[in-house]
Amino acid sequence: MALNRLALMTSLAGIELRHPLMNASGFLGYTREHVHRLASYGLSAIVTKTITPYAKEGYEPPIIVALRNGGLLNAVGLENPGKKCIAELVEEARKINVPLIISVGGRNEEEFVEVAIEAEENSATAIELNLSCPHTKGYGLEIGSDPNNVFSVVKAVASVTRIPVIAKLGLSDRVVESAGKALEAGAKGLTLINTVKAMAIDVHTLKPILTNIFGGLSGPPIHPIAVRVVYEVFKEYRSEIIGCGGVSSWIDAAEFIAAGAKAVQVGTALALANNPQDLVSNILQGLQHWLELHGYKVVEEAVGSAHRV
Amino acid sequence: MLLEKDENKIPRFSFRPFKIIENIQIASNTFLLVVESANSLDHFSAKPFNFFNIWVPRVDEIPLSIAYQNGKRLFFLYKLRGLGTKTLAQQKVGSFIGIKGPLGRGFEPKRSEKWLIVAGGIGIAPIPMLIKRALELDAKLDIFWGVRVSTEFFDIAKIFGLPNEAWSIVRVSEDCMADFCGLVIDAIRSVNVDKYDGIIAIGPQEMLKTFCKQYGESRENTYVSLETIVKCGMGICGSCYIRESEKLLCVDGPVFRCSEVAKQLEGASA
Ligand SMILES: Cc1cc2nc3c(=O)[nH]c(=O)nc-3n(C[C@H](O)[C@H](O)[C@H](O)COP(=O)(O)O)c2cc1C
Ligand code: FES
Repeated sequence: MALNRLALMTSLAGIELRHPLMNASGFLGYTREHVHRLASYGLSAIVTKTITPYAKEGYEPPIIVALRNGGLLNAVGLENPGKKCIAELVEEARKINVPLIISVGGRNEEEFVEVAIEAEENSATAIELNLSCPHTKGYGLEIGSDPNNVFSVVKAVASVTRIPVIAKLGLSDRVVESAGKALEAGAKGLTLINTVKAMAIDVHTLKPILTNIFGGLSGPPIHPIAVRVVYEVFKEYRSEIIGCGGVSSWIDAAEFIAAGAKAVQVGTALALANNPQDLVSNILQGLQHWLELHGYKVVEEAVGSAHRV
Repeated sequence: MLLEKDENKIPRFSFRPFKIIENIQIASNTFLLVVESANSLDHFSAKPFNFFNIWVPRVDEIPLSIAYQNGKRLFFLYKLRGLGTKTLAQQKVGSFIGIKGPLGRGFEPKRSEKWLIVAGGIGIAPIPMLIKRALELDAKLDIFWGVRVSTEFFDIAKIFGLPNEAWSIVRVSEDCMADFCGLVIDAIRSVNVDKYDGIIAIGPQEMLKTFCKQYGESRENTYVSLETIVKCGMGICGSCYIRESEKLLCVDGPVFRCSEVAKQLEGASA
C-alpha cells in the first residue's frame, strides 16, 4: 500500500517534515558518507552525531554492546571530528535534499555557541543541543540536569542564531522544570529523552563490560520512561516535542504522538534492524493506519490525543 | 559470492562468554587462540570472512577474522600489534573472554567454482575456514601466501587438520626461503587468472591497492577483504566507513569488489 504522504506530513520548530521519523543523534552522522547512508533509510530529517568545537577522541572499546533485555548500552564518549566537519555534512544533505539538524555539544556556553554559529553559517536546518549525554565527563547531563544551566546554554545559543534551536534533555528528577527553562530561554522544540545512565557486568569475567564502566541505556527498555517524560512535559507546556527512546515499531511511535510528540526519533532500532529502509517504511505505514483508524487527517490532530478527556 | 547478512542481532551484538582452550604462539609474533562457548545452548554458524570482536576485559575489544569453527569451538589467528593483542596473548587457558559476533558478511565460492586466493602476512587468517567450506562446496582454491620473513609461516593443514584435496598453496617470502622469492603480488603475475571463477586478496592495504589496480579494473569477480578501524562492529559508531561509499565494513564487508573500494584504497600510503 502506498503511503498517504499528506497525512504523514508534520512540522517541528518551524521545520517542514515529510513525515515524523528522523534518526536519533549518535547513529553514524559525522562524515559525508554517513549522511548518505542515513538518507538512504528514508528518514524525513537527519540528525548528526553530537559535534563539539574541536575533534574529540572517544573511549577505548567496548563502547557499545547489546543487552539480553533488547537494549543497547553505550559509552562512545562523544567522539567526533570537531566543528570543521559541519560544512561537509550540510553540503551532502543539501545534495540529497533532506533537512539536517546539527547536534551540538560543549562543556560550557561558549563551546555550544561556537558550534552553533558554525552550523548557522553553513545554513544547517536546525540545531539540537545535547544537554543530556549521561556518560561523558563535563558534557551533556552534567550540564543539563540543572534547569538553570539549561536556561543559560539555550539562552546563549538562541540569542546568537536564527535557525531553530531544539533542546535535547535527558532523564533527571527535574526534567519537567528543565524543559520549561529551555522553552523560556528560546528553544523552539524539545527532544525527549537521551539514554539513561546504566551499567552492565559480565558475570563470567566479573568485570564491567564498558571500558568507561558507566554508559547510556537505549532501546525498548527505556521507551516507557520516555513516554512518561513526553506526557508530563506536554501536559505542562503544550510545547513542540520530538519523542526519542526505544521506538522499534509504529505502536511505540504512535504512543509518543498520543503523549504529545509531533515527531519521533529512532536510534537503536535502526541499528538492530536487518533492513533499516523496511523498518522506516513499516513504522510509517503503521502510523498511517493508526491515523485512519481514529479518523485523523493529519499527524497534528493526533498529537497529545492521550491528554483529551 | 557475498552471503546474506545474518539476522537476529541481539545475541550477535552481546558479549557471550567463552573459555580459552588454547592460546599459543605458532610463528614469529603470531598466536593461535581456541575458545569454546561457555553456554551449551549457544550455537554459531560462522561463515568464511565473518569476524568476531574479542573482548579483553578492561583493555580493548579486538576484531579478529574467524580462522576455523568446529562445533562450539572457534579458532582465531592473530598477530601482536597493540596493547589489546598483547594482553590477549597473556590470557591463560581456562579463563573467560567475551565474544561478539559473527559480524560482517560471509563470503564463499559457489558450488564447484575455482578461486585464486592471494594472502599477505596474517591475511591467511580466514583461509582455513574458507578451505573447509570449499571442501563442502566441491570448490577448488589455489592459494598464494606471502610473508616478509619465512619465520612468519605456519602449517595451516596441520593446525586445522585440513585434507590435501581441494586446495594448493604456494609460499612466497621476501627473505627467499620459500617456494617463491619476493612479493606475493609478483608471484601471481605468471598465473593465468582467466582460468579462475574469481580472485580475492587479503592482506596489507598497500598490497590490496596494487592487486586492485592490476586485476580489479577489467574483472567483475575481483574482491578484497579490507581492514579499517572497527570499534563497535554493529554499524553504529561509524568508524569503519568506506570512503565515498554508503557502506560500512562491519556490516557490508569486510569483503568488497575492487570497484567499490577504489577511493578507500587510494588513501593507502604508497
Ligand atoms: C551508540 C550511541 C551513541 C549516541 N550518541 C549520541 C550523541 O552523540 N548525542 C546525543 O544527543 N545522543 C546520543 N545517543 C542517544 C540517542 O540519540 C537516543 O537519545 C537514545 O539512543 C534513545 O533512543 P533509541 O532508544 O531509539 O536508541 C546515542 C545513543 C547510542 C546508542
Ligand atoms: S565498527 Fe562501528 S560502525 Fe562499523
